[in-house]
Amino acid sequence: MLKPRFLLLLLPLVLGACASPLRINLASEQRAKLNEVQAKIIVVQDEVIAAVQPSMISMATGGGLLMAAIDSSITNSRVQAAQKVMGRFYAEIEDVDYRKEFNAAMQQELQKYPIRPGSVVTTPRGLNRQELQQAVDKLEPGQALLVIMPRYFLSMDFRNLDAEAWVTIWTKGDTNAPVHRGVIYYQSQPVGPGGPASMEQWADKKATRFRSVLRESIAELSRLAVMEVDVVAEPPKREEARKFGFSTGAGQIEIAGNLVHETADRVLVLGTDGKLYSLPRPQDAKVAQR
Amino acid sequence: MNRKLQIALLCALPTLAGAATDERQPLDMQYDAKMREVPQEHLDGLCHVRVTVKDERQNKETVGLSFRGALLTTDMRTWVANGLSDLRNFGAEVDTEEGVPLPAGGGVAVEASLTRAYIWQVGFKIFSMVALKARFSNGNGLIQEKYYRAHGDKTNMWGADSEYVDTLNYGMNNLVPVMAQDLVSLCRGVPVEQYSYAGPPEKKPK
Repeated sequence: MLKPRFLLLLLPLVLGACASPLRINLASEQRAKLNEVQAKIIVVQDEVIAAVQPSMISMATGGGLLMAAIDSSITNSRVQAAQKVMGRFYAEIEDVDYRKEFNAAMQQELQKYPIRPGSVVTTPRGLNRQELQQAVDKLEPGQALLVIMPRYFLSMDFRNLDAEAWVTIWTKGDTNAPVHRGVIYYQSQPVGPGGPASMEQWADKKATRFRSVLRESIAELSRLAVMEVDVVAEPPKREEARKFGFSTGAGQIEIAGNLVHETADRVLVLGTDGKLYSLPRPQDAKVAQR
Repeated sequence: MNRKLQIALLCALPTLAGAATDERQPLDMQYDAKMREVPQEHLDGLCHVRVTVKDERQNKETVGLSFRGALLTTDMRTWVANGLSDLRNFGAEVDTEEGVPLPAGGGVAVEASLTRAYIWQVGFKIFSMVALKARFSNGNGLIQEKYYRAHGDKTNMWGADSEYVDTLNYGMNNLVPVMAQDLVSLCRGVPVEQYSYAGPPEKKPK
């Protein structure tokens, strides 16, 4: 069992992970050596959850049991409120199989990729280092393991479906660090005015809208995951970047980045934060908000 | 969620999962009636209840992820059956016989299907979700089908596997009182609403 003291010892490790660059681009010489990509998609979640911001009063006030108890109570209330709103919606989406759909989308996407696709495995089991090492040890020269770890959630205001995934690529020989690491992020068009009214729209007609948007999110994440491997550009510097609208669930902000690709509905942006985003086109977002 | 915090949590998860190297074992899914915030209250009008359980989770392999790796499970039928057997503490007579008729005095058969059981984390809190579909019938046939969802919560103290089991027990123990209340009507053959959600009782911060 992990003792609290041990957890504290792990803290620098946690912070250390974030101190290293978020994005590691696959080097072109590494890329040239690859002739097959195997994909492992780790989907821990069994269904969509609502993004709930944990209360952090104790952090802001320097800790203490009373503050921690207040945090706990506030976080509980927020989760409880979100769950109450989402209740009936869950009954409508019970048959949705995110893992199955992701697997199919990834198989399809890898077919378009210039490197030969290998196996595509989707699992709910998070990998620990030993399991990752075993998977990498099985690779042949020229093979790479693409690990995708998505999570997906409805925003706090229930207007957007967001999906984010860690993407890493591993080759035989060294599991201390991946040869590629990136984060990809999908945000849907906003739905409804927010709150229970948006939830009703997601749930309406056996959650038709939700199912369609979820499929879009899977297709986009699959596309971004494969693009990740080929995006060799470094993230732009803030002063060179453009601004793109992004909903946090509590309001609208702008993220800085460069336009990588655009379609009729969406823009693909490499952010200054190193993430590769698929965002709804701003004008569409405005129409949907009306 | 605050974006900086989101990034910190995202950074933390793979690192900590990566730090664990032990061979993961399935959770010891023991039902525990003590892990509760909603008291067991005797209800008048409860009858004989026969509980049978199916495990129809889409994902029967895990209930989530902790800092130590995947939270593995095996068949959870016994855990659900033991949880629903707690209906006896609300005043029902409960059995888990299969393939035999209900007792001559009547009663209600509950065919419960576990459709979801998982945990997720928000900050330092662990939350659990337990979802059941229940098919209620009596000597006259089907009374109704109903969908239950309940969540439980617990502060993550040690990251121990037992804490995740406790949190699932909190979820189950929020669900059972709702079913007990429903059975007061169902024992008379009267249907109840088709969906219920239950969470921990609301507490106001002092």
